[in-house]
Amino acid sequence: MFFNIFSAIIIVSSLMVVLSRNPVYSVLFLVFTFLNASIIFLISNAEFLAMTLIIVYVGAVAVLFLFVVMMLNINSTKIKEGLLKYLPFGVLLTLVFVGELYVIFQGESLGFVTPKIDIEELFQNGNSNTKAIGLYLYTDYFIIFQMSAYVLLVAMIGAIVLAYKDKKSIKSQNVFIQNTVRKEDLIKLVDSKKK
Amino acid sequence: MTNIEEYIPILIFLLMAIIMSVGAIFMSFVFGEKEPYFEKSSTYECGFEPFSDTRGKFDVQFYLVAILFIIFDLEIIFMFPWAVALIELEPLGFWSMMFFLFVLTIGFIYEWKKGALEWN
Repeated sequence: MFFNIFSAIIIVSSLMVVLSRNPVYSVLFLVFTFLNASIIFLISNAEFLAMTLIIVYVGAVAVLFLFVVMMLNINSTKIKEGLLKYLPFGVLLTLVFVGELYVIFQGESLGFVTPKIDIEELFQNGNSNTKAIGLYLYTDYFIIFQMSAYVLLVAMIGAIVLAYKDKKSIKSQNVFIQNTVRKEDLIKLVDSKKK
Repeated sequence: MTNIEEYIPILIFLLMAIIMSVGAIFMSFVFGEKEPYFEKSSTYECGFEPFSDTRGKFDVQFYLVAILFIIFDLEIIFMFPWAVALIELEPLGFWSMMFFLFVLTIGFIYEWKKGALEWN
C-alpha cells in the first residue's frame, strides 16, 4: 500500500517538474520526487541507497540544478516552446529505460543476467544493508567500481575545462608578499634641498 | 533486513514540521487582516521602482564549486560501505579503494594546480 502511495506521488510530482511554468518550482518538485524515491528505497529495504539518494541527489544535485536554473536566466514564458520538437527524443529515451527495466527484472529468465549474489542469504547472516553492499562492490564488482572512479575524474576535469575561466586580469592580493614587505622597498628618502 | 519501525520517529518529525510550517502560514492567512491596494501589493526595492529582474545571472564559479562538491560527495559515499565491510574484505577490496582514491587524487591535484578552487 505504501509503495502505491509513494509511487503515485512520484508520478504526480515528476509530471509537475515538466509542467510547472516556473523553473525554480520545477527544481523543488524534483527534490520532492527524489525524497519519495528514497522512501520507496527505504520500503524495499535498501537503506543505504535511500540515505545516499537524500545526501547526493537532494543535497547536491538539486542545488546544482538550482544554480543552473539561476544561471541560465530563463524567461519562464518562453520555456514551453518546442515541446513537440523534443517529443520523439523523449519517447526514444522512455523506450530505452523501459527496455533496461525489463532486462533487469526479467533478465534472469531471458538468460542475460546471472546474479552473483543471493540477497536473502546475505541478510540472513545478519549483515546490514551498507555492509552487504561493501562486501561485494569492492571485490566482485571491482571493474565497475574502478570505472566509476574514471567517470568521476572525467566529470571533474570536464567541469573545469568547460566552466573555469582563468581570470588573470583580476588583481588579487598576495598575502605573503604583503606581510614580508619592508619599508626600504616602499619608501625612498630624497633630500629635496640638495638639488 | 531493515526494521521500518525505526523510521517512525523521523516520520513524526516530518509530520510535525509540515504541520508547523503549513499551520503558521495558513493561520496568518486566515486570521490576518488584509487590505490590499495597488501601491501596497506592487513590487518595490528600498522605496524605488525595481531596477532589474529578480532572476539575475549568477557567476559560473558557483556552478563549478557545486559540481566539484558533488564529485567529492560521491567519493565519500563510496567510502561508507567500504569502511563498514573492510574487516571482512580481501586485500583486493582494500587496494581497489586505494586505487579509486588515487585516480580521484589525480583530479584533485589537477584542479588545485589549475586554480579552480581559488575564489576571485
